[in-house]
Amino acid sequence: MVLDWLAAILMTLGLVFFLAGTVGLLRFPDVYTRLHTVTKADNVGLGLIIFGLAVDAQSVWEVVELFLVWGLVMVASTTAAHLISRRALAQGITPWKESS
Amino acid sequence: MRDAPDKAGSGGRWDQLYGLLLRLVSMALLWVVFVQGEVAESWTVGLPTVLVAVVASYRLTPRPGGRVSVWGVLRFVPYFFWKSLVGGIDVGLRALRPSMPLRPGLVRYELRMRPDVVATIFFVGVISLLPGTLAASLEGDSIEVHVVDRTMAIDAQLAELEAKVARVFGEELAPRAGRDGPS
Repeated sequence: MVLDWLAAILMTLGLVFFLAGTVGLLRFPDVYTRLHTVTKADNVGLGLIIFGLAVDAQSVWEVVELFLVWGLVMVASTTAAHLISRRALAQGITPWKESS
Repeated sequence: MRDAPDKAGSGGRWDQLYGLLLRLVSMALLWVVFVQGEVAESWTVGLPTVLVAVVASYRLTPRPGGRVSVWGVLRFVPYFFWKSLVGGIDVGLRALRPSMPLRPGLVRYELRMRPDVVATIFFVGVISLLPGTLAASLEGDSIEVHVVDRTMAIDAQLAELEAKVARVFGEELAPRAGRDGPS
C-alpha cells in the first residue's frame, strides 16, 4: 500500500519532468538549447518512472532489467544529442544568442 | 587498486586475457538479465549472441586505456545521479519559467586526458547529462561545449567531471598549461 503510493508519486514526478522537457522542446529557440532539454529533463523523467516501476516490481530480475533500460536509453540519448549537435555545428548553424 | 599496465595498455598477455574475460562475462550477464535468468531454455540463441557481441565490442572500442577502478565507479555513481538530477531540474525550470532565462554560448574545453581512449568517449557522453552543458564536438584534444548559461562556472564543473572520469578509468591527467597540478 505504502509502496503503491511511493510508486505513484515517483512516476507522477517523472511525468512532470517529461512535461518540462517537452515545453522546452517547443519554447527553446534553436537546436542546441532544445537538445539540452530533451537529454537532461527527459533523462530525469525516465529515471523517476523507472524508480517508480522498480518499487512495484514483482521480481529482482525486473528491477535489474528496468535499470538496464534506463542505462541504455541514457547512452542512446546522449550519443544522439552529441551527433546532432556536431552535425549542426559542421553545417554552420550558429547558436542562438539573447539580444540584450 | 590499479596495477597500471604499460601506457598504451596494449601489451601484456595477462591484460589481454583479462580484457577478453571481462567482455565475455559482462555480455553474458547482459544476456542473463534479458532472459530474466532463464538461461537453460535460451542458451542456443544466447551463446552465439554473446560471442557476436564480444566481437562487435572489440571492433567498436577505441584504444584501451587503464583498468576500470571499482572504487572510482562507486564514487562516480552518486555524483552522476545527483548532477543529472540537478541538470534536469535546472533545464526544466528554464523551460517552464515565463521569462525563459537562457544565456547560451559555445565554450572550448581543453582535454587533459588523451583524446582517443574509452574514458574520453565516456566523458563526452556524460557532459550532455550534466547541468547546462552539451558536448557539441570533439576535435583533436579539445571539446566544443554548448552551454545554456554562460555565467555558470562551466570550466570548473567540466574539470571536476574529467578528474572523476579519469579516476574511474585509471587515466592520467596531463598538467594544464597555465595551471599547476591536479586540484
